Amino acid sequence: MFPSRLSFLRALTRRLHHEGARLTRPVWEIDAQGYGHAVYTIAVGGRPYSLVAVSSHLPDDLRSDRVIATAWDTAYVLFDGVPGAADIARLVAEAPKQEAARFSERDLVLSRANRSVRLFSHVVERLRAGQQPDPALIDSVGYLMRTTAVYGNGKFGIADRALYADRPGLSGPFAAEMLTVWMIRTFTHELVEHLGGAPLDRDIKRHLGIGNATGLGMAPFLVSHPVLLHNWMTARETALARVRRLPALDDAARGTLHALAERAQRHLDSWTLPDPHHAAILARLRQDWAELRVWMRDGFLQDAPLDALIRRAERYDAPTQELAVSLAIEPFGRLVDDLCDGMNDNSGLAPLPFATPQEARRAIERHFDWALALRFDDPDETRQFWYVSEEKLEPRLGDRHSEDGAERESPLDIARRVQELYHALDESCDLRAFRAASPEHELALTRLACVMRHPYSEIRDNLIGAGCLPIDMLRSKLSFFGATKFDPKSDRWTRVTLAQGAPLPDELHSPRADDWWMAVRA
Amino acid sequence: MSALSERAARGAGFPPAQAALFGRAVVMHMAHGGPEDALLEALATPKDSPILRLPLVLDDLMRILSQMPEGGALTLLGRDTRLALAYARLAPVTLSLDIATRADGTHSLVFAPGDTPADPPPAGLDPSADLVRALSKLASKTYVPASVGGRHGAGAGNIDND
Repeated sequence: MFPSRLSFLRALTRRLHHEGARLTRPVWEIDAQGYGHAVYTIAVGGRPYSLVAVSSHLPDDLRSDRVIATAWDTAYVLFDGVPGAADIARLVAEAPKQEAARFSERDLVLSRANRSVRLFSHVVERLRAGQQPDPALIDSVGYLMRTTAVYGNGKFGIADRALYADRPGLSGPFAAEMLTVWMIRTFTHELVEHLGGAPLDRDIKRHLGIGNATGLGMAPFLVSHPVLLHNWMTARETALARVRRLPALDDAARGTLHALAERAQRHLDSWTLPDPHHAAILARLRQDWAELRVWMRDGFLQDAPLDALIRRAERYDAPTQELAVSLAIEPFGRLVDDLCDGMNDNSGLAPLPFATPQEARRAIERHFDWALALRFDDPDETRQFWYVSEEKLEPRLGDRHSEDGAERESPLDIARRVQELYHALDESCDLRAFRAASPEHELALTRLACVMRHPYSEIRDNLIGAGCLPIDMLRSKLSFFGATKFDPKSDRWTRVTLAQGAPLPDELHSPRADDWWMAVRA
Repeated sequence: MSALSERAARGAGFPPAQAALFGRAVVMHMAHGGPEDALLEALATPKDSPILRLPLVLDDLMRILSQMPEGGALTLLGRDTRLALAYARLAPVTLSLDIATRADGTHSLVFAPGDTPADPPPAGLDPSADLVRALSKLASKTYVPASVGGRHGAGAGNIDND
C-alpha cells in the first residue's frame, strides 16, 4: 500500500492549513555544539500544544535504531498547552531517559530521534562552508534524523488517549503522534541551520522529512484494534468507489492526474533500496508504472476513466495496483476528504449478533472460510508465536518449535482460535451455556461478532504461520500514517520517511500546502 | 490502568477476551471510587471469578436493552456484585444502575435508561502503589525473556548508524 490523501499526516497538514495554524518557537536554548533544548508551540483545534525538544551528546557507538537502545541524540515530548519554566525543566531532565522516566498527563507523546550519520554532518559542514548540501545525498537519505519510537496513549505515565480523543484536531487516528513528528522535523531543520550558521535552501528543506525505524511493535496493534483497521480500510475503499463512479474527467482533472503520475514516477526513481528482493520489486514497479502511464494518455479519455484505470492496473503486480489506487484518489479531495472523519473507532460494545451455535458456525463458514482452510496440524502453520519481551515490554516473534515461552504467547492467533471455536461449537447446546462452560473461546466469538459488523476488521492471514511476514503489516499501517520510501531491513523491521515534501511551518498557508503526494525535490 | 489490568488478568490465567473487558471495567470501577480489593479478589480465582461471568451479564444486559428499552434486572451471584456496576457501565448507553438484594438474599443488577449524560472519560486514576505492584506482578507472568532468535528479528543490528 502507498500513502494517500487520507493518510494521517496529510489529514494533519490539511487541518493546519485550514485553521491557519502558526508554529512559534518561544524557547531556543541550544549551544554552539547543538546541545540544549527548544520549545515549539502551535494551536490546533483552538488549543495550544508544545513540543519540548532536548538535544544531547551521543557517542557514535551508542547510536542504535533498536527500541532497546538507552540513549539518543534527541528526545521529545508533546506537551498539552504551553509549558512553564518548571514544566520545561522537568521535561528536559526526564525526556532523555525515555522509557526509564515517568511522565504526567500533561505529556501527550514521547519520542526520540538519532541523527543520520550519512547526512547530518554533511549538511552542517556544507552550510558552514557557505554551500548547500549535495542534492543526491538529500535524495538518497531524505531526513536529518530518524525517530526510533513515538509513544502515545498512556505509556510511561503520559496521557491516555481518552483524555484528548474528543478534542478537535487531535481526534483523528495518531493525530497527536503525527503533530509531534511534523514538529520534530522542524526542529531538525533548525538545528542544522543553527550549527551550520546559514539557512537551508527551501526546496531542500522541504524535501527533508523525518526518518523512522519501525519493528514488530506496530504489527499487533492492527490485530488488537480490529474496528480501527476496518474504518481505515473502509475509508480507502469508499474513496476509491466514489472516484471510480466518476463518468468522465475534464481537461483539468486529466492534467492533474498525468502530472501526479509523472511525479510518482520520479518519486519511484529517487527511491533506493539496498535489499535485493525489495529492489527487484521496486524495479518492476518503475517499469510497470511507466507502462501504465502510457495507457493513461488515452485511457483517461474513456467513460468512467478511473474505474478503467483500476481495471487496467489489475494486469500488474500488487504494488502497481496499489499505486494506481492512491493516484486515483489524490486529485479528488472534495469527494473523499470527509472520509478522514470516520477513521476513528467510536464503536461501543454490542451483544453478539448470533444467538445459537448453529448461527455462529454458519457465520464462521461465511466470514472465516480462509481460516477454516488452514491446516494447523502442519507444524509450519503454528511455527511462530508472538510474545512481549520481558526485557523491553515490546512485541517479539519466536519459534514455537525451538524456543521457550510459547505458553505465554500473545493472542494474535485469531485464525487458529476461530477454527478451534468452529470445531468446539456443539450445535445441540445453548450458546450462553457454551460460553459459560468454555470461556477460552470468547475471543474467537468476539472476533466473529466484530467481522460480521466490520468486514475489513480481520487480517486474512495466519499470523502464527511460518509464512507470515510482519513487514507486510508494518507497511500497511505505515502507509496510513503517510510514510514513504519504505526500506525494509528484514521481514520484521523497516525504515521509512515521514513528512518528506510536507509544508514547512511558513508554507502552511500556501494553496499548495496539501500538494505533497509522492513528493519529489523541486 | 486498562492495559496493565488486562495484562494482569491474562497473567492471572484468564482468557484474553475476558481479560480485555476486565481492563476496561477496572477503569470504570476506579473512576467511580470502587474499592481496589475487589479487583484483586476477582483476579485471585481464575476458575470461579466475576471476570469470567460478568462479560456474559453485560452481554445479557445489552441484549435485553435492545429488546426492552425500558430496562430490566439480571440475577447476580453474590461475589459478582462488587464489580457488576463497573461492567454495566461499559454498555454504550446511559443507564441508571443499582444492585438490589431480594428478600431471599439473592442479588440482581437493576438497569434502566438513564437521564444524565454518559460520564466523560476519567481525567486520571490514582491507583495505590500496592495495586499497581500487584497488577504488575501478575502482568509480568505474560512476559517472555527475549530469545536470541527474537532479538535478532525484532530490530536492527546492535549499532546502526546511517
